[in-house]
Amino acid sequence: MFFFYTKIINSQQTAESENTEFIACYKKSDKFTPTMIFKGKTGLQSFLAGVLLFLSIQSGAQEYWVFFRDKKGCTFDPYAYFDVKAIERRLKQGLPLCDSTDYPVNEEYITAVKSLSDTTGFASRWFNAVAVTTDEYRLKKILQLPFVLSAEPMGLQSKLASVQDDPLQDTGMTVYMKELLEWQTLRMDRHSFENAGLDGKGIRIAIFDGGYPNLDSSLAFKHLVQGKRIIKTWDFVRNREDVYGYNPHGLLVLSCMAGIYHGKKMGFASGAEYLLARTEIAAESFREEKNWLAAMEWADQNGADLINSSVGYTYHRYFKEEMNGKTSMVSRAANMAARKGMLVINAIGNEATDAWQILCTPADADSVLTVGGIDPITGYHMEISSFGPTADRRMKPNVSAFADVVAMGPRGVVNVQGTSFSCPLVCGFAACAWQANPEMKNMELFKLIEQSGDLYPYFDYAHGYGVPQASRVIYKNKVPPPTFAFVLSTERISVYLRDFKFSADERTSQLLLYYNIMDADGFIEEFHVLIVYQGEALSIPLSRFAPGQKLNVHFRGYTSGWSLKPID
Amino acid sequence: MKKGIRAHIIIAFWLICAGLAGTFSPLQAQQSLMSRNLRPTGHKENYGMNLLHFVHLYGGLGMIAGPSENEGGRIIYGVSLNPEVGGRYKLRVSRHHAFGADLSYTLYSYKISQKPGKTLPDTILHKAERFIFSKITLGIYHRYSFGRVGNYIGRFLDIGVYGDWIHYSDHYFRNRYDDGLVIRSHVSGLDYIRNFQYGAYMRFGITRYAFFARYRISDYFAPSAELPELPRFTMGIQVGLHKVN
Repeated sequence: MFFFYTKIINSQQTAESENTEFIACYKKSDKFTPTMIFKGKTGLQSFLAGVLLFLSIQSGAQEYWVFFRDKKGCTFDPYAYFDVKAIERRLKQGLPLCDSTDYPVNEEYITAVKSLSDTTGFASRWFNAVAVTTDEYRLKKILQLPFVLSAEPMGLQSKLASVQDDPLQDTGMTVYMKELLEWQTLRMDRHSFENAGLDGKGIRIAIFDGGYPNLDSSLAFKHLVQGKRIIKTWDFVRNREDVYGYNPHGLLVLSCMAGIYHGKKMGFASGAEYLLARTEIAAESFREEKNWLAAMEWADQNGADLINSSVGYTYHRYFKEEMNGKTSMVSRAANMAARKGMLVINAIGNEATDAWQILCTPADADSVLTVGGIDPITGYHMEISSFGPTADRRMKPNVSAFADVVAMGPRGVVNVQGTSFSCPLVCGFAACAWQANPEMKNMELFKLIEQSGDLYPYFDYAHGYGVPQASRVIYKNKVPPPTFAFVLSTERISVYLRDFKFSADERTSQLLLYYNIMDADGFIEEFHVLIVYQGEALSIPLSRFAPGQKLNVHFRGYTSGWSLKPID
Repeated sequence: MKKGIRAHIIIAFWLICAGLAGTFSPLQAQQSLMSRNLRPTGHKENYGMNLLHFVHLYGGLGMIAGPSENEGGRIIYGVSLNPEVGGRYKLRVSRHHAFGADLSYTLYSYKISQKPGKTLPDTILHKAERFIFSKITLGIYHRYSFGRVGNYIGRFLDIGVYGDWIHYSDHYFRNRYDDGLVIRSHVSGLDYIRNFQYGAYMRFGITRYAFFARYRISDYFAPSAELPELPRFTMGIQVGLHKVN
């Protein structure tokens, strides 16, 4: 009944100006009954009246971004608006204190648009836009306003990039979980950061997620709470400060950066400061993309250096060819964040086994450090982790981390899967890397993290540059010794491993050989992962190669390439 | 199974494979774990929920609604039903617009009210009485999709017209006599029914669920029969038998 009642109210607003017979009928009576619609009509007329009613009802149900042409008459004081950390970040990276995208949206413009809308919501400074709910008829009128540039429909629902059975239920620490807890950071060479005393101190990280239940009372985050390192919180769904409830996904994600379980660090950045935003809600769609954008501007205002977003938007709103880093509002916002000195780190998504298969947005943005998932058991791509590249053939993911982790839920430790948790592992890593290199600009840090990947300079569209290694951040010039050689015969190109003896005691990841075939433009046409048991690892007929194509191989930290043309 | 044990089993399996394969060719000893080809196939993906073509089955249940022509043709609402099963085709022509067709098997069951004044099909009052029309229905529709959606059904509004062929019509009635005897009777192939029907319909849907309203424009009964028309509206819900995501 509520649904119907609401719609009738909408239809009144919409149809009033069109003076339909239905409204005339409605006004004559104090109390509405559905039969009024059909009063005095034949059956067919009633049916058509119903159709018109339905159309008018539905035309009023859409949300749009309305973009303005300018910010005439607006003033802005960066010292009053920005947190000190935000000003520091700009100064440190040689960025201007503010630009036109920091100025507020003209209030008069918003008021004018409001008069033609059911509701107005978040006003984006970055995009000089306001979120409105209106119908197509009034949208046309809005577009005729001289200061309105354009409008576009708003996004639908997002997906949290994780798979979890019941994060509320403490599964206890199994043997596997104990090993995994150790390995999820050790795989990224935790000791190099620990030995250098790096724990993300002085770095401010914003997390956009679905909720953080029991965070304030959890022992795993006691050091954050007592150290007053949760700087600010905001619930963009309910517009209030309290985020310590709702979907536990955010808590799980935070624990992979800052959680400490019985003295053992679950991630890398237990010393960092945090801004916690609740932007997602599973039960309600049509809101999250707007919240994500609002949270981004909030993070900028409050001095975030890194943004961890384990959320993505896929087929609900977009087609695969639109995963180009330019189409979605959130991708554009992520690129804007990079221009303001922040580094956005986003999970690639868990769609590899679905029809969608490829990455989500904003993971498609070129300035976003996109994180894929590794299976801790096999040591290579986790089955669910989405694939790159972007629709415009750029490499994604950029790096990878474990997508099967031990995390802290509201009632204890749990074993959870998904690239949602690869993302905070890398985000914590980035915090330490930035702490170690405070002079770096955000995109220099981006490059450094890519270069610290254990596959670098090899890459593919499942692993990116592989799993970041702390030792490669600390000891940047370390060159791995050759582990294989190409041998060319008249018909084949072969790869022979040097000094290779198979041992069953080796970790699986030490037996993995990666190779790809790249075209002349640098696009990978095919890529493979093999497990090797003997020295002659690979042999490919030369007939498979066209001029300009290149074979790239990676084995145990060493990468080399071969092509029909001499390699530069 | 413990994951650590699983890892050992996986390695053992590969070792066995490697050993077996090694007897035939040294290179086959390597185990391919992952392989992905990104060369363009020249094949454009055009089948999907919101791609060029989409076909799915659906089922639905409607309630007969609206008034009969007069008191003589009154029905009992709530038990006068319209179940259906069918297939639906959708051809997307733009981001928001699509055209399509429904082909379905539908059953219309009208339970006739047994009150004085009844004239359909006669004035005799029974314990229970029902008309059942079995139809093959073909409809064509225009779909408007709301909001910006990708390869996803989302929210939509369909408006269309349909044509029916009644291939089976039945008049059922049941009487209970004073001695407790119950006699069920039915008359098939009613000669006062027009076999071809047409009408219009609309549907509002969210993903696989759609609320529909159907209006029958044509008359059921031949003019010569001089029978009151049954209600023309049907309202109900349809469920698309396809993946939501």
